[in-house]
Amino acid sequence: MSHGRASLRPNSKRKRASDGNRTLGMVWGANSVSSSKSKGSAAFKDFGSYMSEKERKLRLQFQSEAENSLPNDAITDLPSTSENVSGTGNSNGLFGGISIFVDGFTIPSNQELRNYMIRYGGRYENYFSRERVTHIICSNLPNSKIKNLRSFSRGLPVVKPQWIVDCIGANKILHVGPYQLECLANECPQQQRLSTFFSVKSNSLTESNIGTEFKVVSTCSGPESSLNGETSERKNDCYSKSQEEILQESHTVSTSAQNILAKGANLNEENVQILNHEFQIPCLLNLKEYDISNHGDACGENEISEYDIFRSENNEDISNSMEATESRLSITKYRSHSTLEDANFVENYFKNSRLHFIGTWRNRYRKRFAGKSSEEIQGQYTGVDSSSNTTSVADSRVIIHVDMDCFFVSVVIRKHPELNDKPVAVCHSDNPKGTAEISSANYPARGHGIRAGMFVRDAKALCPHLCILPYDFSAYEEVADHLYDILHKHCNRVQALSCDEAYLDVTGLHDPDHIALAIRQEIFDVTKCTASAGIAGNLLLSRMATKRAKPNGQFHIRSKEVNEFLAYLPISELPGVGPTLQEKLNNQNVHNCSQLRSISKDVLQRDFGSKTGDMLWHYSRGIDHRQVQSAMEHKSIGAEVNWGVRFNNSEDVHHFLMKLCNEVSLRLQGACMRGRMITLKVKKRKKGAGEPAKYMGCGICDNISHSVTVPSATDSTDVLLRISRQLFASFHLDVKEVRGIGLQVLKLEAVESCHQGSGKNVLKSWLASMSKTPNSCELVSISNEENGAAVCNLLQKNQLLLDMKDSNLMRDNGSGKGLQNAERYDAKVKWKGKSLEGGPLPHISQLDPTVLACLPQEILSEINDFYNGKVLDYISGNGKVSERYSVPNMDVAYRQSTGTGSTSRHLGDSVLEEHKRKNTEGDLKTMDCDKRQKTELKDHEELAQDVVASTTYSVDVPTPSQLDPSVLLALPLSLRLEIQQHYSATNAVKKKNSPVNVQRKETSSRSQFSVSNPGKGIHKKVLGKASSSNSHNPEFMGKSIDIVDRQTSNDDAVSLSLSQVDIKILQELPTDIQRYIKDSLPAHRPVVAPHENALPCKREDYDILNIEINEPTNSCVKVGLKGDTCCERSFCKGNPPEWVNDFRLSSCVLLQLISECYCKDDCSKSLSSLLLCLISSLPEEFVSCTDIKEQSVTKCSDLLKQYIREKVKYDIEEVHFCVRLLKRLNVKSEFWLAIYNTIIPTLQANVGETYGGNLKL
Amino acid sequence: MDRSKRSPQGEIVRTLTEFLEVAINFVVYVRGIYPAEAFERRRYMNIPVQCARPPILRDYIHSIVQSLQTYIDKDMVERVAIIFSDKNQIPVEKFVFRLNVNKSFKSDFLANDVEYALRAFLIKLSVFESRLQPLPDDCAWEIVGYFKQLPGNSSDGGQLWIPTDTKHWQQPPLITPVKSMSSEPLDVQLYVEHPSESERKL
Repeated sequence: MSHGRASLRPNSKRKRASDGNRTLGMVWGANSVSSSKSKGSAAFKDFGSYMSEKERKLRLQFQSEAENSLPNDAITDLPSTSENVSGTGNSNGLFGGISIFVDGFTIPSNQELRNYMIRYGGRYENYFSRERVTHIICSNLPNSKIKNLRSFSRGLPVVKPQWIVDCIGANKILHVGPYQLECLANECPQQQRLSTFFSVKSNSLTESNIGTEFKVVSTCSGPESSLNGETSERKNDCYSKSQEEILQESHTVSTSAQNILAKGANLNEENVQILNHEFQIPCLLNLKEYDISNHGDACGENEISEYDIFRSENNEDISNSMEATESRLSITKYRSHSTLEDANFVENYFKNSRLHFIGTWRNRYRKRFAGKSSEEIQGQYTGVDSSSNTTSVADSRVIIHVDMDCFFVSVVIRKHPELNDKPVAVCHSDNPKGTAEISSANYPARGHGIRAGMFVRDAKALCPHLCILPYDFSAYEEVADHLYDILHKHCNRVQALSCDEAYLDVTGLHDPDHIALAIRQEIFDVTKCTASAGIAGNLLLSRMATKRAKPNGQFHIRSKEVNEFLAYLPISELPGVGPTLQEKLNNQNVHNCSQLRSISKDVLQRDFGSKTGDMLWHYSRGIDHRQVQSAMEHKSIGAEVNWGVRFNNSEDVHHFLMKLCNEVSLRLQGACMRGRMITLKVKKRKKGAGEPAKYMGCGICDNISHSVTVPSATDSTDVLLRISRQLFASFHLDVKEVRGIGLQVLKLEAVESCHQGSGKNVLKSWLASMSKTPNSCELVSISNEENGAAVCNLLQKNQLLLDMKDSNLMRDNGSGKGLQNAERYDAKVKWKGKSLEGGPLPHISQLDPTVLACLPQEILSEINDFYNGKVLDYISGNGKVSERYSVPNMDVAYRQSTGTGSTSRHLGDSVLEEHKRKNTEGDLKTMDCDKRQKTELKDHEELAQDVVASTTYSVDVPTPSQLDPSVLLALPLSLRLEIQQHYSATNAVKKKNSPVNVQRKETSSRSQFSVSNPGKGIHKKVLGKASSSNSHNPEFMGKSIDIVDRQTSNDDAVSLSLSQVDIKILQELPTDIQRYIKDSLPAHRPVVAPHENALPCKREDYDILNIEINEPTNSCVKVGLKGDTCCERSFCKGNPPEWVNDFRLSSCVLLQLISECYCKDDCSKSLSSLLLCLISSLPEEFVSCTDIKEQSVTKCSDLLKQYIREKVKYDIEEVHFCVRLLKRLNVKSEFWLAIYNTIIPTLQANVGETYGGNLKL
Repeated sequence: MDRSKRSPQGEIVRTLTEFLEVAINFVVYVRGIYPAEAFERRRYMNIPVQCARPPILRDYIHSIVQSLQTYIDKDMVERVAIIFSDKNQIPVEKFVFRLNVNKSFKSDFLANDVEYALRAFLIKLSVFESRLQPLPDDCAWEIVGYFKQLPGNSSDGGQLWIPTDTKHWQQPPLITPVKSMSSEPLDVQLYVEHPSESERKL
């Protein structure tokens, strides 16, 4: 009795546990519902806490049971051996530290195992947990778990239950090796193990040599996995999974070595030497592999999977070298039944494949009727709303479905009228006992019960006088072509389903019955084959009507007949309802459509999935929203062979893959496509499946597939072969088990675009060449009557040019019908020079604009290049503009078109590109980290959008007010300067009399000179010109200087906004000029919605400026009066560092501000983050303070010097960052400039000392 | 459990060499010495990197880094430089890894921390390309190890290393830091050297 109780209790518990497990989803759902209903009563917060509580209780129960187990002597069903052992009394701690998890059905059962664990001090886990479980016990594993063993077992050993029994029997923990699941131990049973290899080691010199080689592998694999020639060791699952895999790989190597040895046993010593040599390669590879994957193990699952690639490649290498060895030893291979004796198997296979014919026919069709139908179909039914009401749809549309009657047969027998009423079938083999499948049978044959897909021998059994004919692919092609000629003649909107089947949309044409009749008649006249037609309101119904119409008839389902037609239609008639679905529905007692209709959509979707449910619901009501459309674009191109695939060795596979790749490559080329993603699918004989019923068929298989994406789209056989071999190797298959291989290429690109993309990083190469010749930007405006496409063309053309290292970029601003301006950055000074040497060009005025206008875009832009971009302007008749280009020293002439405001995507892109270029070119020094760059780019994007979105006046430059000042502020300084200069330059030319402009110029020139920027001489020239142009206005010269810095920091380019005008200066102007300025400003600032939010902030600036005017002198005086002497102390120590306090206590406002900023923003880690804070929100004091006390500068620079000294040894990045930030600060503030100048020598000295070079600034 | 048996030092060096191998591959890719097709995208420490495909190239990098490993282990390597030279064998660009392995570091080695830091190098490298000028045509490149002391002709691959005859610049080079990391067990700094302005004019 006590026994019964003891064994029952855990049983019931286990049951509960498994119940909980099984209904996991239900419990979850139920739990959440109930908890929402009755809030207070829920004991567990969520499912997780419930489970953890449950597990805890189970463990407690287990423990208490374990404590009681011996005294109770409850377990009597132990095997006799363990009974004996337990009798000795020392069994208690046998499984100490071992915790098992039983997966699935086992013998002995999980209950018995649990009892063993209770008895022998182990633990039993009801739920798998990586932390607690040490061993997984199972007898067999589902395929999915084997394939994905790592995720299933989490690296734990998976052993058979016999292990536990045997451990008890031996009264010690045995090694898990021999008890490992076979399917894991080695993928294929006939492979030999490492142990067999090592056991024959001493037999001959040959083997011992290789043996030592493998010793090398094993010993190098690390101390913990010394092989010692023991297979059991190899399988020691205490080690991580990755190691095990490596060992398995070495095992496969050894197996092949074994094969070679067996074959080459009688070869002489010399060959053996070669062999040894060959083996060194795999050994080395293994070593590397070991290192890497070992590491991968250390850093987690992700990395491991990544390293699979490494591994697989190495594997490939191994197999390569194996092949080499084999071939070198010239071992004769025996092929028992491999059809690969036929070297051209793949070609012949596809030559005889009907499916292949249908597949390739599509290409043919697409080429033949390309463009014929697509355009007409496009935009056909834009007005017709796809209402779900059957009748309305049926009213509005008329579809004819045309299907040839037993196409494959009737085409073949049309020349043999005597066969017309005899049973005929088409098949590639007429061997009456064969397992070839019948592809099509005519109606007399169908009368005998012969169906497509039947084996010939079965068909012959049904109808002994069945006449079997071979395919005639050329005839099929011919008939199909005729068929589609006829269809296209009658109707524009044709959707080809296959070579013998099509939908026609005859909406709006006259009587559909008449059309169908005419079509069928014509088809018969031309091809001598009959066709059937179904007419209805949508694709679905027309197709079902055809079914009713066959053979050689036509059937019209009118809209009012639909319900009647469908009501008693068996559900199997519905397209998409296959045997499985039919069975499921039949189980629900649904046999026809009317029954199906009674089920609600929700229920259907719940039972069959949302898509299938939706389909069933619609189809049962005769609703089909699909429209007749021309052939779809290819999504993938590939080839698959699942018949006759038998390999003996990897060389066969290689050969086969080569042929397959060739085929795929040809198909790709045929379709003018290239692909970037390559998928290899392999059918592998299912374990335990016998020879398939069909001769040479694939039988029952497991499908394995894997994909790889390559950097550039390809159609080359070599690449395909390389990848496919790599993929194949990654499957670690025994080639003998392979039953089918398919190769698919996805992510297709048309070949034309491939060509363009092939030049690596077009933009980058362009950027790179840009940086060689900076600042030679010119402007072109193109007259561009067409929109988008033409622009796109231009851009593409430019990309080509870029490829040729001739970098320029057309940039279109706006896609209006008027002028479309493009800015072109011409970076081809050299190139131009060369081409100009070739011969003098006629002057631009000598060119006939009408001729130019007629030229193709490519040529035009080329000519344009020769004339430095003036030609297009010239054509567009904008003489002024081109004149403007002749203004010397003007590096940026920027023109904004009269855009319609529609956002052009190209614009956004090109602006981005432009800014990126600018970043790289001009901002090398000031650009800090990439993040920043990204945000800048984002800002540029905004800017671009703003520019586009705004409706501009017909002025040459976008008025500065149109630029978002916040964006501008976020721009790197040099970029801002550039924009600013360009504004000042254009303004200088345009409006010499405007005082505002003068003011503006002052600003820009001042800021320009404060930057020590030797590389930008051109800018200076521009500015020089600008200042000379306003020299007649000397009274402004001196006064603007003190406001310059502030303005630069605020809104550099917003030259025409009021905030730019210093009040002080304004006040000192004569009143009439003041009024003029005030009046004129609003005129330049159109009220545009996107900018409204930008304006208030500017007004704020204005206020600040107003206040500021009275302040600066005072604060500077303060600075001047007090100032601490600084001494050599360690500023950077402590938290917060000493300098923070020091600065705070300092009398200098600036230092106080720095300290404040440090504390406020909590940028406690580095000075660079402090400087970054300062840059983003520089306190006004820094800008306004002109009289800087030397001592505060010294103090601050001492801090920086010390910081640099400290950091330079091991964090030069931080130092560099700081210096670049300083550099940006120093254009804003004299204070920082002084600091910058002070620290630079120290910095360079320090860097030189440590790195032997100077920091690039 | 296998990890605990190794010394933290060995683990660091292993991580470092592995990183070096990936980084060198990546630098060679970034500098566009070989067509992009010669590389394939992989993931290392969850960062997409480019790895050389031709076995010769891959093996070259691999073998060098492997042989460096022993010297890094002995703390003999100061810098590892990838030097790109023009057709006159004059260096135009050097990517320098400055290494400093703390030999005395004994406490628990936090692989994740170091890897996290090393990852930043690869990310930085991937965007650093934009800040470099293209290399001239007919470039050659080599990997040069700067040793604190000359490796002896020991059996562990010392004979593979030959004293370099790479031409050097007359002037101190310009240094552009790429990325630095400093941690207790390991300091790595990556920076790029270019000839100074005056040098270029010569």
